[in-house]
Amino acid sequence: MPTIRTTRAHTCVATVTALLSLLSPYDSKALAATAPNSYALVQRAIDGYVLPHIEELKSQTERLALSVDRLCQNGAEASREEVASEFRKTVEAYAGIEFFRFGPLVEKGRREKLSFWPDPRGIVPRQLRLFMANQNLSQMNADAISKQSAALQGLPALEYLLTDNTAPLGPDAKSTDRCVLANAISQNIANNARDLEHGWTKDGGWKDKMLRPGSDNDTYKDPNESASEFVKALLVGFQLLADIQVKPRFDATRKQQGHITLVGPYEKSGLVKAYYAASVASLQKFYDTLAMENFLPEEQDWVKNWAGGAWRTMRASDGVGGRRPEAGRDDTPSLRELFDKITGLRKLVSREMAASAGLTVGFNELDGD
Amino acid sequence: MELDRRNLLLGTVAAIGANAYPASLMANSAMLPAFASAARRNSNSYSIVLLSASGQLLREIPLSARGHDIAVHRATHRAVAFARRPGTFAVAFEIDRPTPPHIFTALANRHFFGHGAFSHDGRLLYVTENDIPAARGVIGIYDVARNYTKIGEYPSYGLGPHEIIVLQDGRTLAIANGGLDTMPEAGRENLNRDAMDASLTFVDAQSGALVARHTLTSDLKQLSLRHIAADHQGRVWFGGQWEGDPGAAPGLIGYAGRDTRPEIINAPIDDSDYLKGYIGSVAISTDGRIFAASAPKAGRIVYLDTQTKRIISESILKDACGLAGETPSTFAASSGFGDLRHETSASHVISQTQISDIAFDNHLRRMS
Repeated sequence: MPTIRTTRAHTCVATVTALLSLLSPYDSKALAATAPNSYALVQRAIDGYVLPHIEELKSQTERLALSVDRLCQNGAEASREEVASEFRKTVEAYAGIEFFRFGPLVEKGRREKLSFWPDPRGIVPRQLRLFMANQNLSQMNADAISKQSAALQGLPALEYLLTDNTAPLGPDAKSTDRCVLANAISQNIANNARDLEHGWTKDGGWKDKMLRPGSDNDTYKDPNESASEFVKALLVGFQLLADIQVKPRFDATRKQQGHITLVGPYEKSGLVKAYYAASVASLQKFYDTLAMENFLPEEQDWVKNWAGGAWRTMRASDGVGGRRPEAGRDDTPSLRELFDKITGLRKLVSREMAASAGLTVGFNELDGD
Repeated sequence: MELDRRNLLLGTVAAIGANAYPASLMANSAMLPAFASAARRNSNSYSIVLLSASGQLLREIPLSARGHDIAVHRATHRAVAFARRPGTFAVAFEIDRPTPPHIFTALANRHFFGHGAFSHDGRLLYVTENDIPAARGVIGIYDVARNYTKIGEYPSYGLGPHEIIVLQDGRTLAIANGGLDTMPEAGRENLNRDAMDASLTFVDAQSGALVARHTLTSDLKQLSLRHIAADHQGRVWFGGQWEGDPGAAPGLIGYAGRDTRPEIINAPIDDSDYLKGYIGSVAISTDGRIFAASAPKAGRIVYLDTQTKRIISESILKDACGLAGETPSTFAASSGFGDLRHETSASHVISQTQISDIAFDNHLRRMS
């Protein structure tokens, strides 16, 4: 049964807030746990996860652009395989940073420019077909494509060109325009990844902003705000995984009713499972980097145990209803179980671990509407 | 509380735990609720909670998923809670009696956006919906007397309609079209951030004809208009959500009239982070002169004089979101940490209550 505490303070907001904070159930948890060092958490997240993963994306997109150019020059089967491999690695690298829905990834619409997905309305293929039919592609380059719709700029647009067997990329005359476009898109992807890295690492960039909170910082006033941003990112990652990778696959009711269905991430390239696996591996690495379990008091060991089981389930699934060979479980988790485990873990991070760390993220602040 | 078979079949009302209706609370059921809000329990369950003015929990209507806003018709003691975007259920209930709630759902190829409004006579309910295949906003019209049967729909004349209100004349609907495309299959992802098309529309409630449609200037293309309230002069005040570069957030609050273009009110300090790009809800004082807007990411509530068009005060409340005008000069505010606060528009706190185990969702509605 809920408890109700009431105070009266006609004159001073601060007094009321202070009194209530003393009584807050969240704060009692915080007192029971090891006091977190928010600055250390932020530094760990940036140096241990964010920057290496963004560097990986940047390097990978450069390799992808080179491989596309090579394929267009020689059309060799080995080059085609190389492009497919580099494309897969790029998509996996992107899965590792897509949940940072703040800072440089959302500035200038970079997320959509890198990966216009989900795309249930099929905007990417529709716009690409129109674009190729109506534009003179011979002068197309990365700068020109960067001024077009986000749907034309990123990995899904490149995937469309790479997987369109009616005109495989290569030196043939019939593929010239497509190769010009594919090169423009792949170089634009690399440019965006480079800008993303620059946004984090430049002087006064997002790394500085998160590590130097204060009254003169326009985004983070104290270290807890920076640390909470990373907690939110983790929670967003769980939500994206559960809601748009897993749920559409078992929520068959709407499909039966003839609703629009969501095609999985990079399904044309056969990368749905790879994307899921990369998402899980990335989220677990980020979770481990934040080390939020360390803030739990002893009596909450059950949270760690539950979280361990959830991670085993996530690793044991291939994300589409099957089992991964390296799974630490003997059985195959159902998609429903997988969904429930991901959302359950999200709640534990939000309400138990973050609360114990004193990094409570507001219900509405996290996901209001 | 009883569950009828329809509720169980629809699966919209969750199984009710022992805590949903503790005997001690049933004893208070004679007391009329003053406020209602969607809420989340620490046990991970969602519900609509009905509260006394002092914050005492009087009733609780469990939901199977997160709710959003509640349309209220005080004269007939009816209320309808909506699933939040892109949900598909709505729960109608009586304010003054704990009768079993009635569930209705969006038709095929439609989802709700979390908001609705009763006609002044209480006979119709207008609901913001998405025509999913066509990616266009519509206003669903429901016949209250026929168990909320859908009897028609109008276009909202925009994309992603969010809050809808009925203006004082009783025949004009004002609709905040957020400009964002969403669909259940894509969760809560906004599908068209680079091609947003927000608008504020005025629609004739009898004919569905467009009376006026206001869009924002190109530099505000990524300001999603979400929540609205009408002042005493019939102007519609809005609070938006910035979807553009975080460091470039403009003023999020503004107003427009049927015949006057939108005007943005700038923050009192030159700081794009002042409201952190997000207004969670808005409310108007009972005399229509003071407009309030909550910014949960900033933990801030701002009060604005609709005549001078200036922000007159601000208060701090962590995760503040729900707002309701109580008198010409006082408001109630709720938070995601279970706070229910009464304060003046000068930001003087009158009283504050915290209910443990409850996180109040976006909106708070006055029921009496």
